[in-house]
Amino acid sequence: MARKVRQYGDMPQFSLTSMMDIMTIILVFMIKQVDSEGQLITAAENLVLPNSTSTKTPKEVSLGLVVDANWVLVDGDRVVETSIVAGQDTLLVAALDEVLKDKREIEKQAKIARGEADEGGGNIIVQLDKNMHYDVMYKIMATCGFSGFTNVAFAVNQLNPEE
Amino acid sequence: MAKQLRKAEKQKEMDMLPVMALMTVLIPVILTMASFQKLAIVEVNLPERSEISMDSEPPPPDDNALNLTVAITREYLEIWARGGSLPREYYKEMWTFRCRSDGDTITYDPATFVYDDKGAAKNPPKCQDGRELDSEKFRYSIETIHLWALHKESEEDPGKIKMSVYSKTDSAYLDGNNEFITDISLARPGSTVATLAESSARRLACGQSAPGVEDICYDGKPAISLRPRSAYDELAKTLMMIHNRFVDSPDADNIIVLADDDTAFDKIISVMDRARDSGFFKINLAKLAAGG
Repeated sequence: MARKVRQYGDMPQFSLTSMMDIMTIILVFMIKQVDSEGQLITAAENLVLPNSTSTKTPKEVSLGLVVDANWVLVDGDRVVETSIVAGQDTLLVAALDEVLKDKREIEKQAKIARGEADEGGGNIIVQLDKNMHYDVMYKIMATCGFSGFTNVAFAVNQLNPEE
Repeated sequence: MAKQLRKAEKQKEMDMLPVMALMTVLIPVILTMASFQKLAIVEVNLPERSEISMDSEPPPPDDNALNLTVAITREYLEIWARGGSLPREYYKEMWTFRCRSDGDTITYDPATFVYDDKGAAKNPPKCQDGRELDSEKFRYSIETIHLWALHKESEEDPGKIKMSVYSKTDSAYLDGNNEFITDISLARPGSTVATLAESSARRLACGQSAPGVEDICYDGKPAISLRPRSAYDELAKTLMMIHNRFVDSPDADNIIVLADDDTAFDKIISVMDRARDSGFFKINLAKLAAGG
Protein backbone atom coordinates (compact mmCIF):
# COMPACT_ATOMS: atom_id res chain seq x y z
CA MET A 1 0.00 0.00 0.00
CA ALA A 2 2.81 2.36 1.01
CA ARG A 3 4.51 1.58 -2.30
CA LYS A 4 1.35 2.50 -4.26
CA VAL A 5 1.01 5.88 -2.51
CA ARG A 6 4.62 6.68 -3.32
CA GLN A 7 4.02 5.91 -7.00
CA TYR A 8 1.07 8.30 -7.38
CA GLY A 9 2.70 10.92 -5.18
CA ASP A 10 5.59 11.38 -7.65
CA MET A 11 4.05 13.70 -10.23
CA PRO A 12 5.67 13.11 -13.64
CA GLN A 13 7.29 16.14 -15.30
CA PHE A 14 4.92 17.58 -17.92
CA SER A 15 6.88 17.91 -21.18
CA LEU A 16 5.94 20.95 -23.19
CA THR A 17 8.49 20.45 -25.94
CA SER A 18 6.26 18.39 -28.24
CA MET A 19 3.40 20.80 -27.63
CA MET A 20 5.69 23.69 -28.58
CA ASP A 21 6.61 21.93 -31.80
CA ILE A 22 2.95 21.61 -32.77
CA MET A 23 2.22 25.20 -31.86
CA THR A 24 5.19 26.48 -33.88
CA ILE A 25 4.07 24.56 -36.97
CA ILE A 26 0.51 25.86 -36.62
CA LEU A 27 1.77 29.41 -36.12
CA VAL A 28 4.01 29.33 -39.21
CA PHE A 29 1.14 27.88 -41.29
CA MET A 30 -1.24 30.58 -40.10
CA ILE A 31 1.19 33.43 -40.74
CA LYS A 32 1.55 32.08 -44.27
CA GLN A 33 -2.22 32.15 -44.70
CA VAL A 34 -2.59 35.77 -43.60
CA ASP A 35 -2.39 38.11 -46.54
CA SER A 36 0.33 40.68 -45.93
CA GLU A 37 -1.62 43.30 -47.90
CA GLY A 38 -4.84 42.72 -46.01
CA GLN A 39 -8.27 42.33 -47.57
CA LEU A 40 -10.06 45.42 -48.78
CA ILE A 41 -13.30 43.50 -49.26
CA THR A 42 -14.98 41.20 -46.82
CA ALA A 43 -17.40 38.60 -48.12
CA ALA A 44 -20.94 39.36 -47.00
CA GLU A 45 -23.02 36.82 -45.14
CA ASN A 46 -26.18 35.26 -46.58
CA LEU A 47 -24.85 35.07 -50.10
CA VAL A 48 -22.55 32.96 -52.25
CA LEU A 49 -20.26 34.85 -54.59
CA PRO A 50 -19.62 33.41 -58.06
CA ASN A 51 -16.24 31.88 -58.83
CA SER A 52 -14.06 33.65 -61.35
CA THR A 53 -10.63 33.38 -62.95
CA SER A 54 -10.08 37.09 -62.25
CA THR A 55 -7.06 37.84 -60.08
CA LYS A 56 -7.61 41.56 -59.85
CA THR A 57 -7.93 42.90 -56.32
CA PRO A 58 -9.12 46.37 -55.26
CA LYS A 59 -6.33 48.90 -54.74
CA GLU A 60 -8.23 51.23 -52.44
CA VAL A 61 -11.15 51.14 -50.06
CA SER A 62 -14.45 51.42 -51.92
CA LEU A 63 -18.07 51.73 -50.92
CA GLY A 64 -19.59 48.29 -50.39
CA LEU A 65 -23.01 47.35 -51.79
CA VAL A 66 -24.47 43.93 -51.02
CA VAL A 67 -27.48 42.33 -52.71
CA ASP A 68 -28.65 39.12 -51.07
CA ALA A 69 -31.90 37.19 -51.45
CA ASN A 70 -33.78 39.59 -49.15
CA TRP A 71 -32.12 43.00 -48.97
CA VAL A 72 -29.97 45.56 -50.75
CA LEU A 73 -27.47 46.89 -48.22
CA VAL A 74 -25.08 49.84 -48.48
CA ASP A 75 -22.16 49.68 -46.05
CA GLY A 76 -24.13 47.16 -44.00
CA ASP A 77 -27.33 49.24 -43.74
CA ARG A 78 -30.55 47.91 -45.26
CA VAL A 79 -31.82 50.20 -48.00
CA VAL A 80 -34.48 48.39 -50.01
CA GLU A 81 -35.90 44.89 -50.31
CA THR A 82 -34.52 42.85 -53.21
CA SER A 83 -38.03 41.75 -54.18
CA ILE A 84 -39.02 45.42 -54.67
CA VAL A 85 -36.03 45.95 -56.98
CA ALA A 86 -36.92 42.82 -58.93
CA GLY A 87 -40.57 43.86 -59.25
CA GLN A 88 -40.15 47.45 -60.41
CA ASP A 89 -40.28 48.32 -64.11
CA THR A 90 -37.93 51.30 -64.08
CA LEU A 91 -34.15 51.04 -64.20
CA LEU A 92 -33.51 53.51 -61.38
CA VAL A 93 -33.92 52.23 -57.81
CA ALA A 94 -35.03 55.46 -56.12
CA ALA A 95 -34.30 54.53 -52.49
CA LEU A 96 -30.83 53.29 -53.39
CA ASP A 97 -30.14 56.30 -55.58
CA GLU A 98 -30.88 58.62 -52.65
CA VAL A 99 -28.47 56.82 -50.31
CA LEU A 100 -25.75 56.54 -52.93
CA LYS A 101 -25.97 60.23 -53.83
CA ASP A 102 -25.49 61.12 -50.14
CA LYS A 103 -22.50 58.78 -49.90
CA ARG A 104 -21.02 60.27 -53.06
CA GLU A 105 -21.43 63.80 -51.69
CA ILE A 106 -19.66 62.80 -48.45
CA GLU A 107 -16.87 61.24 -50.52
CA LYS A 108 -16.51 64.46 -52.57
CA GLN A 109 -16.41 66.66 -49.46
CA ALA A 110 -13.80 64.40 -47.89
CA LYS A 111 -11.61 64.68 -50.98
CA ILE A 112 -11.95 68.46 -51.06
CA ALA A 113 -11.06 68.63 -47.37
CA ARG A 114 -7.91 66.61 -48.09
CA GLY A 115 -7.05 68.96 -50.96
CA GLU A 116 -7.48 66.26 -53.61
CA ALA A 117 -9.25 66.71 -56.94
CA ASP A 118 -12.40 64.65 -57.38
CA GLU A 119 -11.60 63.28 -60.81
CA GLY A 120 -13.65 60.52 -62.36
CA GLY A 121 -16.54 58.86 -60.61
CA GLY A 122 -16.74 57.13 -57.28
CA ASN A 123 -15.65 53.52 -56.74
CA ILE A 124 -18.11 50.91 -55.62
CA ILE A 125 -17.80 47.16 -55.11
CA VAL A 126 -21.03 45.20 -55.53
CA GLN A 127 -21.49 41.78 -53.95
CA LEU A 128 -24.29 39.79 -55.54
CA ASP A 129 -25.39 36.25 -54.91
CA LYS A 130 -24.32 33.98 -57.76
CA ASN A 131 -27.95 33.04 -58.44
CA MET A 132 -29.26 36.60 -58.51
CA HIS A 133 -31.14 37.48 -61.71
CA TYR A 134 -29.48 39.72 -64.27
CA ASP A 135 -32.45 42.11 -64.11
CA VAL A 136 -31.66 42.97 -60.46
CA MET A 137 -27.94 43.24 -61.19
CA TYR A 138 -28.57 45.56 -64.13
CA LYS A 139 -30.86 47.89 -62.17
CA ILE A 140 -28.37 48.09 -59.30
CA MET A 141 -25.50 48.78 -61.70
CA ALA A 142 -27.44 51.46 -63.57
CA THR A 143 -28.44 53.14 -60.29
CA CYS A 144 -24.79 53.21 -59.21
CA GLY A 145 -23.96 55.00 -62.47
CA PHE A 146 -26.80 57.51 -62.10
CA SER A 147 -25.71 58.41 -58.57
CA GLY A 148 -22.10 59.07 -59.52
CA PHE A 149 -20.42 55.73 -58.75
CA THR A 150 -19.22 55.05 -62.27
CA ASN A 151 -16.39 52.68 -61.40
CA VAL A 152 -18.38 49.54 -60.67
CA ALA A 153 -16.72 46.25 -59.80
CA PHE A 154 -18.28 42.95 -58.77
CA ALA A 155 -16.77 40.87 -55.99
CA VAL A 156 -16.02 37.24 -56.90
CA ASN A 157 -14.33 34.25 -55.33
CA GLN A 158 -10.92 33.79 -56.86
CA LEU A 159 -10.73 30.41 -58.56
CA ASN A 160 -7.55 28.44 -57.75
CA PRO A 161 -5.65 31.42 -56.30
CA GLU A 162 -2.56 29.24 -55.81
CA GLU A 163 -2.19 28.55 -59.53
CA MET B 1 38.20 22.02 -9.99
CA ALA B 2 36.03 18.88 -10.02
CA LYS B 3 33.46 20.73 -7.91
CA GLN B 4 33.36 23.63 -10.41
CA LEU B 5 32.75 21.28 -13.35
CA ARG B 6 29.86 19.62 -11.57
CA LYS B 7 28.28 23.03 -11.05
CA ALA B 8 28.55 23.92 -14.75
CA GLU B 9 26.96 20.63 -15.83
CA LYS B 10 23.83 21.33 -13.83
CA GLN B 11 21.84 23.26 -16.45
CA LYS B 12 18.63 25.05 -15.62
CA GLU B 13 15.61 23.78 -17.54
CA MET B 14 13.97 26.43 -19.72
CA ASP B 15 10.53 27.54 -18.61
CA MET B 16 8.29 26.99 -21.63
CA LEU B 17 5.03 28.09 -20.02
CA PRO B 18 5.22 31.83 -20.97
CA VAL B 19 6.05 30.88 -24.58
CA MET B 20 3.11 28.49 -24.64
CA ALA B 21 0.84 31.22 -23.26
CA LEU B 22 2.02 33.57 -26.00
CA MET B 23 1.34 30.93 -28.66
CA THR B 24 -2.13 30.28 -27.29
CA VAL B 25 -2.95 33.98 -27.63
CA LEU B 26 -1.27 34.41 -31.03
CA ILE B 27 -3.03 31.52 -32.77
CA PRO B 28 -6.63 32.71 -32.18
CA VAL B 29 -5.62 36.28 -33.16
CA ILE B 30 -4.12 35.07 -36.45
CA LEU B 31 -7.08 32.77 -37.01
CA THR B 32 -9.45 35.73 -36.94
CA MET B 33 -7.26 37.58 -39.44
CA ALA B 34 -6.79 34.68 -41.83
CA SER B 35 -8.71 34.61 -45.09
CA PHE B 36 -9.26 31.13 -46.42
CA GLN B 37 -11.19 32.31 -49.47
CA LYS B 38 -9.47 34.89 -51.63
CA LEU B 39 -11.72 37.52 -53.12
CA ALA B 40 -11.14 39.35 -56.37
CA ILE B 41 -13.07 41.88 -58.44
CA VAL B 42 -14.42 41.94 -61.97
CA GLU B 43 -14.69 45.42 -63.46
CA VAL B 44 -17.36 46.37 -65.97
CA ASN B 45 -18.16 49.38 -68.08
CA LEU B 46 -21.49 50.87 -67.16
CA PRO B 47 -24.62 50.47 -69.31
CA GLU B 48 -24.49 52.97 -72.12
CA ARG B 49 -27.74 54.65 -71.09
CA SER B 50 -26.21 55.91 -67.86
CA GLU B 51 -23.13 57.26 -69.59
CA ILE B 52 -24.66 59.05 -72.55
CA SER B 53 -27.27 61.72 -72.08
CA MET B 54 -30.51 60.89 -73.86
CA ASP B 55 -30.45 63.96 -76.14
CA SER B 56 -26.90 63.41 -77.43
CA GLU B 57 -26.41 62.14 -80.96
CA PRO B 58 -25.35 58.49 -81.26
CA PRO B 59 -21.79 58.09 -82.62
CA PRO B 60 -21.53 57.38 -86.38
CA PRO B 61 -21.12 53.66 -87.19
CA ASP B 62 -17.55 52.54 -87.89
CA ASP B 63 -17.33 50.06 -90.77
CA ASN B 64 -14.01 48.67 -89.51
CA ALA B 65 -15.33 48.08 -86.01
CA LEU B 66 -15.80 44.51 -84.87
CA ASN B 67 -18.86 45.25 -82.66
CA LEU B 68 -18.52 41.89 -80.95
CA THR B 69 -21.54 40.87 -78.90
CA VAL B 70 -22.33 37.71 -76.96
CA ALA B 71 -25.96 37.01 -76.14
CA ILE B 72 -26.98 34.66 -73.32
CA THR B 73 -30.52 33.35 -73.61
CA ARG B 74 -32.31 30.47 -71.86
CA GLU B 75 -31.41 28.03 -74.66
CA TYR B 76 -28.30 29.21 -76.42
CA LEU B 77 -25.26 31.47 -76.59
CA GLU B 78 -24.91 33.53 -79.74
CA ILE B 79 -22.06 35.64 -81.08
CA TRP B 80 -22.56 38.66 -83.34
CA ALA B 81 -19.79 40.57 -85.04
CA ARG B 82 -19.71 43.04 -87.94
CA GLY B 83 -23.45 42.84 -88.39
CA GLY B 84 -23.51 39.06 -88.81
CA SER B 85 -23.94 36.18 -86.41
CA LEU B 86 -22.26 32.82 -85.90
CA PRO B 87 -24.29 29.61 -85.49
CA ARG B 88 -26.02 29.46 -82.12
CA GLU B 89 -24.40 27.37 -79.40
CA TYR B 90 -27.32 25.50 -77.87
CA TYR B 91 -26.97 24.17 -74.35
CA LYS B 92 -28.72 22.16 -71.68
CA GLU B 93 -28.57 23.77 -68.27
CA MET B 94 -27.86 21.54 -65.28
CA TRP B 95 -27.75 22.60 -61.62
CA THR B 96 -25.44 20.96 -59.10
CA PHE B 97 -26.48 21.39 -55.47
CA ARG B 98 -24.37 20.77 -52.38
CA CYS B 99 -26.36 19.11 -49.61
CA ARG B 100 -25.54 20.41 -46.15
CA SER B 101 -26.91 17.28 -44.53
CA ASP B 102 -24.52 14.77 -46.11
CA GLY B 103 -22.00 17.02 -47.93
CA ASP B 104 -22.64 15.26 -51.27
CA THR B 105 -23.54 16.89 -54.56
CA ILE B 106 -26.64 16.22 -56.62
CA THR B 107 -27.20 17.35 -60.21
CA TYR B 108 -30.67 18.22 -61.56
CA ASP B 109 -32.13 19.38 -64.82
CA PRO B 110 -33.92 22.65 -63.82
CA ALA B 111 -36.67 21.89 -66.33
CA THR B 112 -37.86 19.04 -64.07
CA PHE B 113 -38.91 21.38 -61.24
CA VAL B 114 -42.62 22.17 -60.92
CA TYR B 115 -43.46 25.44 -59.17
CA ASP B 116 -46.59 26.58 -57.33
CA ASP B 117 -48.15 30.07 -57.50
CA LYS B 118 -45.77 31.44 -54.87
CA GLY B 119 -42.71 30.28 -56.78
CA ALA B 120 -41.90 27.40 -54.42
CA ALA B 121 -40.91 24.07 -55.99
CA LYS B 122 -43.39 21.24 -55.51
CA ASN B 123 -40.57 18.74 -56.05
CA PRO B 124 -37.44 20.31 -54.52
CA PRO B 125 -34.10 18.52 -55.00
CA LYS B 126 -33.62 15.48 -52.79
CA CYS B 127 -30.23 14.70 -51.23
CA GLN B 128 -28.77 11.20 -51.25
CA ASP B 129 -29.67 10.79 -47.57
CA GLY B 130 -33.33 11.42 -48.45
CA ARG B 131 -33.63 14.97 -47.13
CA GLU B 132 -35.16 17.63 -49.36
CA LEU B 133 -33.73 21.12 -49.93
CA ASP B 134 -35.83 24.17 -49.03
CA SER B 135 -38.61 24.41 -51.64
CA GLU B 136 -38.41 28.25 -51.81
CA LYS B 137 -34.72 28.96 -51.40
CA PHE B 138 -33.13 25.86 -52.94
CA ARG B 139 -31.84 28.01 -55.81
CA TYR B 140 -29.46 29.63 -53.36
CA SER B 141 -27.89 26.20 -52.71
CA ILE B 142 -26.76 25.82 -56.32
CA GLU B 143 -23.04 25.18 -56.30
CA THR B 144 -22.41 25.05 -60.05
CA ILE B 145 -24.48 25.90 -63.09
CA HIS B 146 -23.33 23.67 -65.94
CA LEU B 147 -24.14 24.48 -69.55
CA TRP B 148 -23.78 21.25 -71.56
CA ALA B 149 -23.23 21.98 -75.24
CA LEU B 150 -25.85 20.44 -77.55
CA HIS B 151 -25.62 19.44 -81.18
CA LYS B 152 -28.90 20.35 -82.92
CA GLU B 153 -29.88 19.77 -86.52
CA SER B 154 -32.81 22.21 -86.30
CA GLU B 155 -34.70 24.41 -83.82
CA GLU B 156 -37.14 21.57 -83.11
CA ASP B 157 -34.44 18.95 -82.61
CA PRO B 158 -34.07 18.21 -78.85
CA GLY B 159 -30.33 17.90 -79.50
CA LYS B 160 -27.57 15.53 -78.53
CA ILE B 161 -25.07 16.32 -75.79
CA LYS B 162 -21.57 16.93 -77.17
CA MET B 163 -18.83 15.07 -75.32
CA SER B 164 -15.20 16.04 -74.79
CA VAL B 165 -12.12 14.68 -73.08
CA TYR B 166 -11.27 16.66 -69.93
CA SER B 167 -8.06 16.74 -67.93
CA LYS B 168 -7.68 16.14 -64.19
CA THR B 169 -7.98 19.91 -63.70
CA ASP B 170 -11.16 20.27 -65.81
CA SER B 171 -9.52 21.63 -68.96
CA ALA B 172 -10.91 20.46 -72.32
CA TYR B 173 -8.26 18.98 -74.62
CA LEU B 174 -7.85 20.16 -78.22
CA ASP B 175 -6.07 18.30 -81.01
CA GLY B 176 -3.59 19.65 -83.58
CA ASN B 177 -6.45 21.04 -85.71
CA ASN B 178 -7.77 23.06 -82.75
CA GLU B 179 -10.79 20.76 -82.47
CA PHE B 180 -12.10 19.30 -79.20
CA ILE B 181 -10.90 15.73 -78.61
CA THR B 182 -13.98 13.51 -78.38
CA ASP B 183 -12.32 10.10 -78.26
CA ILE B 184 -10.62 9.25 -74.95
CA SER B 185 -8.22 6.86 -76.70
CA LEU B 186 -6.67 9.88 -78.49
CA ALA B 187 -5.60 11.40 -75.17
CA ARG B 188 -3.23 8.67 -73.97
CA PRO B 189 0.33 8.97 -72.64
CA GLY B 190 2.58 10.06 -75.51
CA SER B 191 -0.09 12.12 -77.34
CA THR B 192 0.39 15.84 -77.86
CA VAL B 193 -2.64 17.97 -77.01
CA ALA B 194 -3.48 21.57 -76.12
CA THR B 195 -6.05 23.29 -73.92
CA LEU B 196 -7.97 26.54 -74.41
CA ALA B 197 -5.13 28.55 -72.83
CA GLU B 198 -2.59 30.35 -75.05
CA SER B 199 0.52 28.30 -76.01
CA SER B 200 -0.68 25.32 -74.04
CA ALA B 201 0.57 22.44 -76.25
CA ARG B 202 1.86 19.65 -74.04
CA ARG B 203 2.78 15.97 -74.22
CA LEU B 204 0.74 13.64 -72.06
CA ALA B 205 2.60 11.27 -69.78
CA CYS B 206 1.92 8.93 -66.90
CA GLY B 207 3.91 9.44 -63.71
CA GLN B 208 6.17 12.20 -64.97
CA SER B 209 5.72 15.96 -64.87
CA ALA B 210 7.98 18.54 -66.48
CA PRO B 211 7.66 21.76 -68.52
CA GLY B 212 5.62 20.82 -71.60
CA VAL B 213 4.68 17.44 -70.12
CA GLU B 214 1.42 16.76 -68.26
CA ASP B 215 1.00 13.88 -65.85
CA ILE B 216 -2.49 12.55 -66.57
CA CYS B 217 -2.33 9.67 -64.11
CA TYR B 218 -3.51 9.28 -60.56
CA ASP B 219 -2.34 6.22 -58.63
CA GLY B 220 -0.77 4.92 -61.83
CA LYS B 221 -4.00 5.06 -63.86
CA PRO B 222 -5.09 7.73 -66.38
CA ALA B 223 -7.45 10.18 -64.63
CA ILE B 224 -8.78 11.99 -67.68
CA SER B 225 -12.49 11.67 -68.46
CA LEU B 226 -15.02 11.90 -71.27
CA ARG B 227 -17.70 14.33 -70.11
CA PRO B 228 -20.41 16.60 -71.52
CA ARG B 229 -18.67 19.53 -73.16
CA SER B 230 -19.22 22.92 -71.58
CA ALA B 231 -20.85 25.56 -73.79
CA TYR B 232 -18.49 28.02 -72.10
CA ASP B 233 -15.56 26.10 -73.62
CA GLU B 234 -17.16 26.30 -77.06
CA LEU B 235 -17.61 30.04 -76.52
CA ALA B 236 -14.00 30.51 -75.36
CA LYS B 237 -12.67 28.69 -78.43
CA THR B 238 -14.72 30.85 -80.82
CA LEU B 239 -13.81 34.09 -79.01
CA MET B 240 -10.08 33.27 -79.15
CA MET B 241 -10.37 32.59 -82.87
CA ILE B 242 -12.18 35.93 -83.42
CA HIS B 243 -9.64 37.84 -81.33
CA ASN B 244 -6.69 36.40 -83.27
CA ARG B 245 -8.35 37.10 -86.60
CA PHE B 246 -9.51 40.68 -85.93
CA VAL B 247 -6.65 41.87 -83.75
CA ASP B 248 -6.21 45.03 -85.91
CA SER B 249 -9.79 46.13 -85.46
CA PRO B 250 -10.20 49.49 -83.60
CA ASP B 251 -12.40 47.81 -80.99
CA ALA B 252 -10.46 44.53 -80.84
CA ASP B 253 -10.56 44.53 -77.01
CA ASN B 254 -14.26 45.35 -76.66
CA ILE B 255 -17.17 43.01 -76.11
CA ILE B 256 -20.80 43.52 -75.18
CA VAL B 257 -22.52 40.86 -73.10
CA LEU B 258 -26.29 40.72 -73.56
CA ALA B 259 -28.55 38.64 -71.35
CA ASP B 260 -32.16 37.88 -70.51
CA ASP B 261 -33.66 39.30 -67.32
CA ASP B 262 -33.67 35.96 -65.51
CA THR B 263 -30.10 34.97 -66.39
CA ALA B 264 -28.19 34.03 -63.24
CA PHE B 265 -25.32 36.34 -62.25
CA ASP B 266 -23.03 33.29 -62.22
CA LYS B 267 -23.55 32.83 -65.99
CA ILE B 268 -22.71 36.48 -66.65
CA ILE B 269 -19.46 36.19 -64.68
CA SER B 270 -18.57 32.91 -66.46
CA VAL B 271 -19.08 34.50 -69.89
CA MET B 272 -17.10 37.58 -68.80
CA ASP B 273 -14.26 35.30 -67.65
CA ARG B 274 -14.14 33.54 -71.04
CA ALA B 275 -14.21 36.92 -72.83
CA ARG B 276 -11.38 38.32 -70.71
CA ASP B 277 -9.29 35.15 -71.07
CA SER B 278 -9.72 35.41 -74.86
CA GLY B 279 -8.34 38.97 -74.91
CA PHE B 280 -11.52 41.09 -74.64
CA PHE B 281 -10.82 43.27 -71.62
CA LYS B 282 -13.35 46.07 -72.08
CA ILE B 283 -16.65 44.47 -71.19
CA ASN B 284 -19.98 46.27 -71.54
CA LEU B 285 -23.25 44.84 -70.31
CA ALA B 286 -26.63 45.31 -71.92
CA LYS B 287 -30.09 43.74 -71.75
CA LEU B 288 -31.68 41.57 -74.39
CA ALA B 289 -34.95 43.03 -75.58
CA ALA B 290 -38.01 41.01 -74.55
CA GLY B 291 -38.48 38.09 -76.90
CA GLY B 292 -34.73 37.89 -77.71
